[in-house]
Amino acid sequence: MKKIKYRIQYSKTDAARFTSHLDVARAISRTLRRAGLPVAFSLGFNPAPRLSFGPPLPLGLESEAEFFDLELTADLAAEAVFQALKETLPPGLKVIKVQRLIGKTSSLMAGIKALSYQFLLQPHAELGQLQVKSLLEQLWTKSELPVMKRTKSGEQVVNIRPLWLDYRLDFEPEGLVFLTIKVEFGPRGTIRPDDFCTFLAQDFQIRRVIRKAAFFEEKVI
Amino acid sequence: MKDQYELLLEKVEKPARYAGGELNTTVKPWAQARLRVALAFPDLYEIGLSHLGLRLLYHRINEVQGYLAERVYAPALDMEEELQKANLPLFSLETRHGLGEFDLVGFTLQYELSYTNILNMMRLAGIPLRREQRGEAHPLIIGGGPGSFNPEPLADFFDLFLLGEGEEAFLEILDRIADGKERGDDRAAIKRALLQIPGVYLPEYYQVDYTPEGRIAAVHPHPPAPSVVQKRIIHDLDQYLPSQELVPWMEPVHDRLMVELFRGCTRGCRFCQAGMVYRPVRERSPAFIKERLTDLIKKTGYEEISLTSLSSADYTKIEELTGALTDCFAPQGVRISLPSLRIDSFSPELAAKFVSGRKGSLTFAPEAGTERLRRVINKNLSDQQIFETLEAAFAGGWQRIKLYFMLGLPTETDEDLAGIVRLAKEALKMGRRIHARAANRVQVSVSVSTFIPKPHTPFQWRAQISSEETLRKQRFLQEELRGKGLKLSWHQVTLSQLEGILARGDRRLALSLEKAVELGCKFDAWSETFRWDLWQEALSFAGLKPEDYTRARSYEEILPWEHLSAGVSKEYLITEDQRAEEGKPTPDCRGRIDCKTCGVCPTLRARPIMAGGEKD
Repeated sequence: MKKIKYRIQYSKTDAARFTSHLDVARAISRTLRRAGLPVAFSLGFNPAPRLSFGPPLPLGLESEAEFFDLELTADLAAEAVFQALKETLPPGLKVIKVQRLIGKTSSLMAGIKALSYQFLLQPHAELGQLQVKSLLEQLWTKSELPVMKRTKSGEQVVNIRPLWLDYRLDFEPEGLVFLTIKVEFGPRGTIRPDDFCTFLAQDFQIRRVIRKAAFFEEKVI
Repeated sequence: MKDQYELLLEKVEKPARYAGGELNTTVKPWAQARLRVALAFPDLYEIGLSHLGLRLLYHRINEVQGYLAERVYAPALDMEEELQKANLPLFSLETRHGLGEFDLVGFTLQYELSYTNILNMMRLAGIPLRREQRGEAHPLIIGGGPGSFNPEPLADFFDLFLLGEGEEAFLEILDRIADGKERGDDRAAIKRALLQIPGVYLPEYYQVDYTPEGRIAAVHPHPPAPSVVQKRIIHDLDQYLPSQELVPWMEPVHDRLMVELFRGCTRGCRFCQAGMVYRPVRERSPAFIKERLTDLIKKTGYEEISLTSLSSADYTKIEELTGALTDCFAPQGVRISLPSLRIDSFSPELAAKFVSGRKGSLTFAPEAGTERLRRVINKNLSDQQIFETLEAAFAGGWQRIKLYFMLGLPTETDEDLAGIVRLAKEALKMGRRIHARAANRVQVSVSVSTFIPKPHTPFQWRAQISSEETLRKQRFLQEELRGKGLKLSWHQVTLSQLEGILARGDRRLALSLEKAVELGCKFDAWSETFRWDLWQEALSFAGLKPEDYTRARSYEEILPWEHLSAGVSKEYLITEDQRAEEGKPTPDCRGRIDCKTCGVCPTLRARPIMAGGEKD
């Protein structure tokens, strides 16, 4: 049977942000049934829709850059898939973009090379813009940013600095600061926002964390 | 910015339990509602959400303009701690209002071991526990579900209980309250008006006197309360098939679309409370079930439909229905499943198609180890029937079989325990013979629970076995059921003791319940949180002993629930108890038109309804 692949970008907000990766996957497979899309099913006794997901989002975070790949048995226009999802996704999940994939494409997990996160920060003390800038500059110029990682063989110190690719600051009214960081995603690992927060917690109250974007090897979205 | 509840959610392990926002939930504007109802399940979200009854009521109330229903579940220990630290009340999922702000809080009484959770939830919401401590500003507290057939241990904490099915009666209750509030009636006047609704039980209208030994001397109903409260049923189940169903984010225990084929059960097992209190049998029509399921799958996207009932395979049109549903839903990747099958309705074909868990394991419930004892409990299976079914199951490819039994049934002797051992060992031998090439993968698991006599059953007068006796019986099985391929699991002895105390409890237990909660008892059904030591302290605080409740009663003694009726006559229960003693079976009443044996049909002016028509 013919299988057409689509890549869907969606956002995750509100109550949905408290939903685990696995639970979102189940919710999306139910969405596809409600939408009545001609989904390709896996073989076997318990057929599951052919779906694959991008990097898991830590619980509690919102995101504007979540992805899943979907296979359909009919060649629908991307716009038709977009409309069907728009009407049936559960509250808190919103479709942003649907792309029909042509030719050979890497999977989401292999194709995504970097992610960006945005932190809304409220400085603890009366830190001015210059001081905030210099705090981040100091962090950026460090060669080691050690975090404790729990592994099967106990705790281990890991240096996350090599995985930190870029950052930018945007200053908002009332002393609030948007910090956007870009981090590597791939076989060398990635930086979890929680881990990065350990270096901010001393100077800032972290009001909100959002995954903002995913960067692909070949420009797909 | 985030409200204070959002901050709480970020601190707990499983925030989806409290976040709300599931698909197909209804969030109504709080300020515009005429009447606000909180539907409370006194256990964790993933348990509570699996319960059909509250989901039915939730949608049904929200369908009515002006009425708002929201949900609340027992907070896990981490959330309880965060609520107290933040000094916030237990809140509803939909609009995050404190429970105390609702007009009515309804608790479902599904199992006795959730009673401390009910009081703890009220405490966390800042609602005074005792009825007489509550005033005009507080919500009315109502209970429903099987526990309301003996709610006496909770009588001092609740304003009212509803006996029986809620589809019609609960809305009648809401109408009275809403009208009363709009008229400016006070609490007492509203409650008096509620007395006019059949099925409504207001404990404050019944005064219970005790003898010096702690037996009930008399129950005095105060007019206009009826001397006996009769349960409510709905006659035509097709009228009340739900048209909406919510889909949780987080996986509940039963994560599927559930639909009841029928209510009631005609088998007449003498230990089974559900079999007695949900009579008579009323089946839904297959065409209607299919039509509604088609709509609900479109609205929910569930991948499994469970056809639930007390014994689903007894549904008169079971083959027609499962066939039609499979044809309809298989192409969409939706499975149809039946809960476990009865031994006498098992077929490998049915099981292969419809019992979830596939080639994993199959569960059967012989309940007792010998034919004699099975006749006593009216679960009339011969050893041969059991072995034929097991053989069919093994031959059908299953390698793991689970057998469910009860310990401490009336008239049980060690011979009956030996019967359990014999059945299990024979089953193992048979499995190994049939799966000769994979003999070491064959497993027979025996699960034994302790029999607890329940109100409104023929065994309601019987003694519950003591802790010592239970332990002795468990040890007997532990020693006999050893070796590769055999597995034994059993219930914690003290947990069954508490369940038995509360099941046949009276109003004197209020003091103990209150004390237990004060001492920190909660989630009693979970062995890791259950504290028998604290419960013992709470019982002796009220001057009570387990034996006060686990003891045998005479037919003449006034039972705490005697002013509450499930429609089944006392004469029938006594006859059945005596037939049990004599080891006489009573046939299934399914399809017998003129059967008036148990009294439920004449009493409720009802009749059994069969989708396949009655047979003589």
